Amino acid sequence: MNDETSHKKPEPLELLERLIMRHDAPLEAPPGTEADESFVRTYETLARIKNALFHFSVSKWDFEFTARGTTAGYIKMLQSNLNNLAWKCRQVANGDLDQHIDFMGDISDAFNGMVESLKIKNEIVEAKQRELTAMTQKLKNEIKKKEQTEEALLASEEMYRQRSLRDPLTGIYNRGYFFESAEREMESMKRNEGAQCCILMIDIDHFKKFNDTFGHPVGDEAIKLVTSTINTTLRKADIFARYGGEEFILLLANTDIGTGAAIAERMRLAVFSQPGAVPGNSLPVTISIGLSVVSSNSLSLALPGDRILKTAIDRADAALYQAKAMGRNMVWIYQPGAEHANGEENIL
Amino acid sequence: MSERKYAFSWSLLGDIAAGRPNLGPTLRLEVYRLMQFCFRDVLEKRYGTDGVDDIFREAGLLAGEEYYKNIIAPTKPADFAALVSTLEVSLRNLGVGVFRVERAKLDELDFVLTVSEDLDCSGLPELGYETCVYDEGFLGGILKSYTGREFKVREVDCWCTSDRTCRFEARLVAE
Repeated sequence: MNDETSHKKPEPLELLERLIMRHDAPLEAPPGTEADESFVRTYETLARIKNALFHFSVSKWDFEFTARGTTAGYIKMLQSNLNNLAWKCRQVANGDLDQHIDFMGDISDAFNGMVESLKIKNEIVEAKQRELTAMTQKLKNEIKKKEQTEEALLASEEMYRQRSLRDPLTGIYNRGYFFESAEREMESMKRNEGAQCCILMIDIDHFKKFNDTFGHPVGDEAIKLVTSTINTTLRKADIFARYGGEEFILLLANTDIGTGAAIAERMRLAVFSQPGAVPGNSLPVTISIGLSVVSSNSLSLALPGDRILKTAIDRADAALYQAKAMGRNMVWIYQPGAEHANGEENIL
Repeated sequence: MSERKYAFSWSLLGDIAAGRPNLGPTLRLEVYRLMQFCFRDVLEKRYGTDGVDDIFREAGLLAGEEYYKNIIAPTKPADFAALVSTLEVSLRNLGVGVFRVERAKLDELDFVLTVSEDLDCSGLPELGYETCVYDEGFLGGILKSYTGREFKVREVDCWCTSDRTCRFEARLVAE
């Protein structure tokens, strides 16, 4: 190679070939070509097109492309299509399945087919969701129904339980419930030093005669009148029950003998003050009350609750007997030695 | 001007079904272009090149606002994507062109929009300058109606500059 050939200035066509064929060719027209404006314009347009094609080859088509001319226009069209495709894909990703593409040949068909397929799948999913929602609702309804049935059953059970505990005529507790609750109270008292309670036996005076004179329905009214009147004087912790016939039993919880006597007297007066159970007859209904006290200090801890209760009831009954004997319509407090012949032990 | 003769009203589009029972709503595009380029010619002679461009741009803006009010707004577009979908479909159905979004920066209200097979320019000879000034106004009117903000819409590529599709950059005008 001689000096002449090694320093030969490249021909314009050679420069253009180099631009097309080599990656390291400059993107601006090489120095020394400035005079040829047509060449510079062609070279630089070709360089921009090359640069654009490079961007496409690395999937970066959101670039600024300022070349002019028909060939550049084709590239801009492709760039526009790809950018629009990206926009459409983003809309689909955001849930818009009404997107549609035209004018992009197979890509349009593929995109539109994909969106249609997604739409169908979406509809299937939505249908399944609706089905699931309906099933969930049905299940909820069934659960609710079951809960309502259970509630009704519990309410019914509670109603029957209450009925089994209560006296049907007066609605107050029956004898069975009284013993069950009062025995628990006795056991509880054994654990509380100084605790006291009173047992009251209550009997409607001359009830047999009353029944014989006015008939059983009026007798029943008298029983109801007495229970409702006594009920108004009681506290929540007290246990009031029908003992049998015209006889009632009452446990006054946490009550000493003085307070118990005062309450009993209030009850007696309250019943006595009622206008009476006989329509058109002012004959008052009266009651006699026998009262005994149970104190934890004097309890024999070894004794069971039922035994303690039985003794207390016997004592109250003895006091009631005294009240009857002393003329009725009065409260009589048990006094040791007042028992009638039942062989009661002095355990309280 | 005390009383205007040509204030635009949508009713001026007329009852085409009644008025053209045989020819219908379409005409050859050449006729539309004949009218438009003759308007440009005459207006340019009176008001200069910039003057005619301003007139076309302003007319486009009015048309865009009216188009939005009467064609787009009744569809109640929920968001920008819905607006684009409505525009795509309606402009295509009316034969105005193939409208597409290339880029949308919604937080900046900065858009690149394209119209291919454009009513005004597609197929025209290469002129070396962009001609779609009416479209600039039209797109600006649509965007203004949708956002309530003023936009500057500039055509950067046009069939008349050898490009296959007309590309518009729309940017919010600083308030």
